[in-house]
Amino acid sequence: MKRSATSCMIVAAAVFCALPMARAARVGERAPDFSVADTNGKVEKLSDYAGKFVVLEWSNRGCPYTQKHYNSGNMQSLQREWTQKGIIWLTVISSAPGKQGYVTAADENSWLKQINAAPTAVLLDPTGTLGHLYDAKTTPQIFVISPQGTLVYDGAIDDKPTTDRADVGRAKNYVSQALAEATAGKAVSTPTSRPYGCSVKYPGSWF
Amino acid sequence: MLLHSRRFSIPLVALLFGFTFGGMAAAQSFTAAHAKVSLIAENNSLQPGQTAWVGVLFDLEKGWHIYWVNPGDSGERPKIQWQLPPGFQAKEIRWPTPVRLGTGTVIDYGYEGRVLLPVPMQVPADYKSGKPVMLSADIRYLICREVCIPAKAQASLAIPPANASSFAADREFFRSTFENSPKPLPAGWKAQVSDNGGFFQLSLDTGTSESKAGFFPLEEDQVDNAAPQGVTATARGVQLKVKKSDQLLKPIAVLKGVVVLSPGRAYEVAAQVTGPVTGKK
Repeated sequence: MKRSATSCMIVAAAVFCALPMARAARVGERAPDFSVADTNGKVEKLSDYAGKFVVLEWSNRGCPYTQKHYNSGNMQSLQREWTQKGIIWLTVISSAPGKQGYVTAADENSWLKQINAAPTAVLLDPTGTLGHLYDAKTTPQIFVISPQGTLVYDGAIDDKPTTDRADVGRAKNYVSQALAEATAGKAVSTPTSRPYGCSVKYPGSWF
Repeated sequence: MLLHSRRFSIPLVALLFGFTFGGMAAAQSFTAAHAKVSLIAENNSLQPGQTAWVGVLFDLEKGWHIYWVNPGDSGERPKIQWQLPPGFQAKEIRWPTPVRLGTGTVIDYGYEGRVLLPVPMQVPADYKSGKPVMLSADIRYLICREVCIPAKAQASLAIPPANASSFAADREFFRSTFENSPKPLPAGWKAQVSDNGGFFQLSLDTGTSESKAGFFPLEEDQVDNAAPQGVTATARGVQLKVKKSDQLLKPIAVLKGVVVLSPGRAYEVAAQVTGPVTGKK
């Protein structure tokens, strides 16, 4: 309604809002390219990974839904399993300065060590530019991009939208399924799901 | 207010054990994370074989919110796990009309302030009128302001109450909640939905022109919650253009939700979705 139209102006730092209802990435379509610095100062471009599967994982370590998957070790083992199979795993932090989950590069790097995380890189997106480009709504939300640059999965990490750690073992993991199918040359049987979790803490968002 | 006096009357043991016995029918209010959660009843007696209204009353700290049955883009609905005497059966929550929460590209549906989630409670046919019963529940809910906290509360309700002083206030909560809950579509009204590719076109025929309307989808994955809804007054009602969710890849048979025309005028809609309108008529 009126509210979202005006708020788009409030977060006008993200150029994507200049477009009416920004055309976000959609499954089956080309995943938009981006160029974002990671926690090691390297500029990560999607186009640099052409020919490989790329996972984008939105994260906020203060969010209890993100914590479910890191405190249980689930996220780390997914990262480890799939990066060992040659997949590029990019964790994205779109929390704005002052909001939950906002981190500096140094802080994040020591945290990654502490929790034994294994992504290829962690992208810092405090302006929310990359988040809006993909229309990421929640943490965790996951996107999978094919070697041809097509978005093949957009949604939740699994089918248990709770903060209960015990649910990790009971859940059907959509990301593993999508990656297993896509890397075997099959169509992804669940290409979308409703992402669950905390809202991404974009600049201008009030919760 | 009654709730305030109750809050201070709760002994420490009640906090430790999560509830207190022998309170009022409307009592058992207790402090959880940023909310006071209690069980209340519409009536202070139960009738055999009938359905009684009981409910979970959330008194939310200013700025904090909880979620509707469809939380929208983020969040999670509250869940109630009952511990009931034999034969008693709790039905589904009758969700009051939610409000839109948030800004920008993430929009949620939920409640702020004081909200009652009413639950129809089936009383067994062999219940002896006047016999004291204790209804208890574990309530798990996500409460959010800028950040979200998964919270738990335990509450109990004695019927009949030891002290019925809050009965009128509790009854009033039920009355105002029902008034602010979606009602079935009145006889003679008609809702139609067509699939226009990227949008659902929802036409509501109320008999009179309506200039305002908002749609709250019941299912979590059908509608783009953040997209503005196009509202057009028609001679006999209103037409809403609701953007589909990007994650919705397959056609849906029925669009369910709540249409709010003005405060207190919210209606349940469940309409078969007809195919895309082709050409012009």
